[in-house]
Amino acid sequence: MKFGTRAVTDELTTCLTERLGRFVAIARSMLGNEQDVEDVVQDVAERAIAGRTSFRGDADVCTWVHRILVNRCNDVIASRVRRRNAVAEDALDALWDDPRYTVDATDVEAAIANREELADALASLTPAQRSVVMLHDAQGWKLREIAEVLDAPLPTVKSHLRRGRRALVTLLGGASR
Amino acid sequence: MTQLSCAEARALANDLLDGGLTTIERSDIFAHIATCATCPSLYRSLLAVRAALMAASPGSPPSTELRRKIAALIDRGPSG
Repeated sequence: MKFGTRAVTDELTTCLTERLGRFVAIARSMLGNEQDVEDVVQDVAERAIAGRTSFRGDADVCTWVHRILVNRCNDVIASRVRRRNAVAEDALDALWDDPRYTVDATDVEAAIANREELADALASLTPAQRSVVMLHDAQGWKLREIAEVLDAPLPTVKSHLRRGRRALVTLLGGASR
Repeated sequence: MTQLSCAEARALANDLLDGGLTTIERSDIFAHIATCATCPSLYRSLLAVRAALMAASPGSPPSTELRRKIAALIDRGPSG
């Protein structure tokens, strides 16, 4: 092998080899579009290998690769046409603080049953909300692990999780349509 | 027992989903939900959304082709 200090190179090799299934699962859950998934994971591997000389060592190598993956997935989602408008965070907080606000749970459940509706709603979250919701609820990560990958304080991660779930309910419940 | 406002109950509902509440907090939120006109449907919706995300299929493992490409990238290094 031609690249890098031995320790970082070894860690990167181990990460890309042993965690490949996990990377594919994360990309699949975030992108929801099978045909993009392996292209994105390959692109992330290329970026990690090409960028490893600038790796600063502020996280472990595999955490850094996960960070590249999550950011890349969010870039791909941002490049897609949105079919639904996002709910601004302050408007979302105001809505959920209003005791009169509610949704019809049967509407939400019906929308969830339609995978396209759910995918559209996920695409309408902010990148930070989507990253946290998908890593936590779909991938089963602990909040502390997510904070490390996103390089964000734990309370911020918790806030993204709360707002992300609320935004999904609001979007699927139809209140903002 | 504390009488929760809707805003307080909804804030706690998120932690309830993750099992992060004390017994007293759980009692408070369920007492609120039992008598509130608007919060039960929001809570049921939050549960439904989380259940749908948790149930998402992990899908198929990486293809042989992807494994081969990644191995080639590793072998070639950044200059390739």
